[in-house]
Amino acid sequence: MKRDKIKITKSPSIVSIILFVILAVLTVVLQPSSASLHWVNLKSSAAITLILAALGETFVLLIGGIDLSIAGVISLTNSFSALYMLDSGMSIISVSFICMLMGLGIGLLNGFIIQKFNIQPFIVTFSTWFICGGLAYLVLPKDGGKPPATFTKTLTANIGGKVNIALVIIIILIIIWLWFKKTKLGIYLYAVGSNAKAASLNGINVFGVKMFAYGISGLLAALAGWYRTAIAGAGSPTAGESFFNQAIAASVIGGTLLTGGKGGAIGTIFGAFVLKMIADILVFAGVSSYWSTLFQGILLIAAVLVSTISEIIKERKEMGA
Amino acid sequence: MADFEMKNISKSFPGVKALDHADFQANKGEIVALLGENGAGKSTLIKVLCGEHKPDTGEIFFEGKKLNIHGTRSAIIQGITAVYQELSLVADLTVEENLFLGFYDTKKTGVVSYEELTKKVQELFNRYHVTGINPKAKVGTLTLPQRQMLEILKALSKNGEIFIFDEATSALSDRQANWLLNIIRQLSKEGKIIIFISHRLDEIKKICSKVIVYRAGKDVADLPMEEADSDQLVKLMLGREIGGYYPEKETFTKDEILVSMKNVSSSHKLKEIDMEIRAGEILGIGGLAGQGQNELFSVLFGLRPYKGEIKIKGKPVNLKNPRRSIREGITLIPEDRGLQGASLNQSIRENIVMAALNRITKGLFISDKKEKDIVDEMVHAFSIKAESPETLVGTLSGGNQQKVVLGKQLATNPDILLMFDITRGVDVGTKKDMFETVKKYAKEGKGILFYSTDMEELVNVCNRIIVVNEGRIAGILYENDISRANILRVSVGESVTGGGAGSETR
Amino acid sequence: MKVKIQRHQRLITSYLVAIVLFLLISLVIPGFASLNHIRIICAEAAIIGIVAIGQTFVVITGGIDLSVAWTICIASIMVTNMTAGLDDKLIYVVPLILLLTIIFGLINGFCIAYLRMPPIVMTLGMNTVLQGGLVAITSGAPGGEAPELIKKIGQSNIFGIPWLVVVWIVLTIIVTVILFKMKYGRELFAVGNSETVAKYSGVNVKKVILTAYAISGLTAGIAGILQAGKVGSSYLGMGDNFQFQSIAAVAIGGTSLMGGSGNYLGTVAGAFTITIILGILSALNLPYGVQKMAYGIVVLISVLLSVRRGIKVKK
Repeated sequence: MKRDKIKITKSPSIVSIILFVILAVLTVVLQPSSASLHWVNLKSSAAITLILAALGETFVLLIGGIDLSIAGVISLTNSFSALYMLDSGMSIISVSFICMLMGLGIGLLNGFIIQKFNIQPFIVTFSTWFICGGLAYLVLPKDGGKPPATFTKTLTANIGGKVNIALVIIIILIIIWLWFKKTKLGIYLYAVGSNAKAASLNGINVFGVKMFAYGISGLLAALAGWYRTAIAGAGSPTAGESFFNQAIAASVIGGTLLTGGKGGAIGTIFGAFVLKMIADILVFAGVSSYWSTLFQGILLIAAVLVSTISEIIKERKEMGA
Repeated sequence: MADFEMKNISKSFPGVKALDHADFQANKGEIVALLGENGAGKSTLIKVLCGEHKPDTGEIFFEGKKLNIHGTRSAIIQGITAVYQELSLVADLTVEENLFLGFYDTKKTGVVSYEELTKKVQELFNRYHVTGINPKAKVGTLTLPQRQMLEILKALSKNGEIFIFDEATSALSDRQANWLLNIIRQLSKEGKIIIFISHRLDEIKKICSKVIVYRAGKDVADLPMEEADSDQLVKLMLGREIGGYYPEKETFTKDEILVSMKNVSSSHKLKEIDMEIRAGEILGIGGLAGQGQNELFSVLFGLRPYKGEIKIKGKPVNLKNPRRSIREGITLIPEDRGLQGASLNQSIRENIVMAALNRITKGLFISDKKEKDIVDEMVHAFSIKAESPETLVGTLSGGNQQKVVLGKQLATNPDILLMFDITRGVDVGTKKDMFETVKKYAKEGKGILFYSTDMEELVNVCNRIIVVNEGRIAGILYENDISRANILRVSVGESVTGGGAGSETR
Repeated sequence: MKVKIQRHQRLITSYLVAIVLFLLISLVIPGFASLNHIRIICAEAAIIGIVAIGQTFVVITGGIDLSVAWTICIASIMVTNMTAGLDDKLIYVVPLILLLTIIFGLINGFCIAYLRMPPIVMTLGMNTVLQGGLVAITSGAPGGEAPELIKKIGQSNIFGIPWLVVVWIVLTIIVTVILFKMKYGRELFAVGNSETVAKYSGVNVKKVILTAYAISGLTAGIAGILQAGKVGSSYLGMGDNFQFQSIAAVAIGGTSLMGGSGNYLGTVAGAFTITIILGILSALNLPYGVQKMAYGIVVLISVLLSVRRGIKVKK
């Protein structure tokens, strides 16, 4: 029992969980009405797209890479599904399927080019970011598109009238992650991120593991854009704009290191909630929307700074300075 | 046919033919020493065997059957295990997770069975009498010798048929190295085949039953150990006579004190060090691995913060960073030329002047002539063999790369040379050149601080040896008392036999 | 001679690409090769090229500067709004702008070099901060008019050559001298190849990186001022395109995005190439989406083509 306790406090997501609790308490104090299931439903629905995008990014960060293309993928699937989804089961399913395929395909393409030609991840995903972003504009030059009500209502519904489907999805994601972390592939993910060369010497298929990570990132980004179609009820070629910054911030707050090998999905999910709650509190405090961009940027830098500085301190301690 | 054969193996890389129709054979129970200079093809041969590289030609047979190795995993499954020079451990995973990495048992739900894992690890520890390592600790928190031991355990756990030990003892203390050699003997008794790569000829003589020598990508000799003596082996490796491995020891020590350290401490690794380096002196640093030697060198080269007083040529200095140290006339020849010593993607010329940019500037700008002069001087002084100064350092042989590093660090015109394990992983021919160089600089009146994990080297090269233990000076050995036995004695806290000419123990 | 050509192979190729591209297109699109259009191309390339100066320095260290977009914007807005379109305030507004952009660069450089923030995240974050700050301060209002002197530099010619190009040539000479004839240049390349080796050679790695980002801030500031002059006014978001264009110019020009090698003269060719490509796109009246895709494709292709047969060294 004691060993488990130590394990929890040393877990990388502890910071985001603590922050979450603090902010939750703060929110309840400022807005007593928020202590309700209804509020939790609202927040889950508001956070689901970021959570999906950030989770995908977390996988890539874990293997020591980075994926800038998620912004482009989100814009693309959002625009595509908003424009082409018609009010028939067939259309909804096939368009959704195509979106997922697009995201997966781009993710795998990223992973392939990065590894086959040994190019830095940021440059490859920087390029695919623009290629996808450009495609989004070609698909939908201006904000618009009208997805069918069946689609939007389903994804924003409360199951049994009580629990929002987004909240359910989040819980399912947590459960899946807790299982995944203990599978071979899950452990290999961390191994590759920590030391790819060593992983390869042990017979691990590093190429495959990295392809998996980038593929998942593309797939989840596609899902984020697709879900946005339901929530916003429209499409936009610039939908993905701020997602990269926030995905990184959520992951880093959640304890995932940008250098790979450490972190996880639980932290990211809480990190995403933390970001949303901070934004809410700012709105509540009457801060104009112009300043929100500024805060977003500062938050990103601050989150990463705290992470890198604490790594430096840890190293210094080991050196015994 | 022998139990294990590699036949007609060739492997080329752009610009380099690493293996040229090479052969290798061994029978069960044999411990084979694989000798050869760096670049002779040893590591490529091993990488082919372990599935890291696919050979251009050739086949591998075990017990008469052809092996089809198409990757690291398939090699491991077919019974080939290696203990690598660069550790194959993942710092962020636990000891348990590392020991069976890639070979986990899974439960029906798809998750890895940690219960099975813990059991297997405990069995492994018991079988090989391993204590003091917490199986649930992250590998990144262990010391280097501990990690090397894990590396060895990992290989042993595979129950393979063919074991490869590539410089496996380099990071181990004498006691741990003996532990390993005993295990190897045991494996041999069990009928395994062991390929043992080491630059330590005395170790090889201790346990190997035969020697295979590689030169220029091909096997050139396959002798039983009784027939091989050191000189002959060296000759086979180099393809020529080199006569006398170590230069004759002379003393050039002058009175002038170049470096004086008083009460120097650094974190908890170095404590209250009082020592001096004189001009013309080759001062050795001995002791068990990891006792503060690294920290001592780092402090002198400005890589670590410290407390205490350091004087260079009588002047108190504050060695805050490498630049300061270089300015004060100190230079470091590091152990890892790839990561620390030379910029592999740049030319010889760019490397050589890198640390001495002040010497090639005239006013604000770089003078091509001054640059050329210094480059020519260093290339000549160290006989760096290359097409032109524009050749990229990464394409040079290991020995030549090391020479470029020497050229770079010595272009700063230092008075004090810090040489940290510079012969590690270096072939015999270059080693000899290096010892000659060390002697030459001593003769010129420079002060040299010399550290090597090879005690044989310390004994044959140094005028005086300071033995370090737990961050403190355990003893100083002068001239006549220098011997491996004495270094060891002082390292473990005993006094020196012969108690001669001023040697001290603390 | 042969050795020299081999060494500068990449450089020569990047110029050949620009020239061939230009010749081919001028055959297809009438007026493309007219003297006036050439001037326009040169002027456009000049601004991209100036931003790319800083980008080149930063990329050589192995990093990237994604904050140039809003640095340029701030500089443009400041030069129009703080001078109220008049020349007399320029004497202290311009130094102020340059000082400010250098400070932005120093902040980037400090966090990256001393606090070990990854360059992408730091500069992207900085970009967002600058955007947020500027938009909040101006409350989203559009910028003003550029002062006459700045407009003159941005729009007029001397002896038939645009003033912008003259400025660019002067800066190119200075930059090339720094990179190849001065101590800092050597230190920069050393750091880009291996920080550890550079450190062991006595180079002050952190200061070198800090300086590179400061230079990037400075050149973005200069570009911002000049762009305001070229366009005649300023508006929010005017720096966005330069971000990708400067990176594309650097990539096309042969500077390895992995760091450690590069030549600003190559970036110059790259600036021309990207300008020509953009010119083609607008001449063909292709939608904005194609332009965006073009950035991505161009960068990807350049990087693929220049995959160095270098020796892999872990940093």
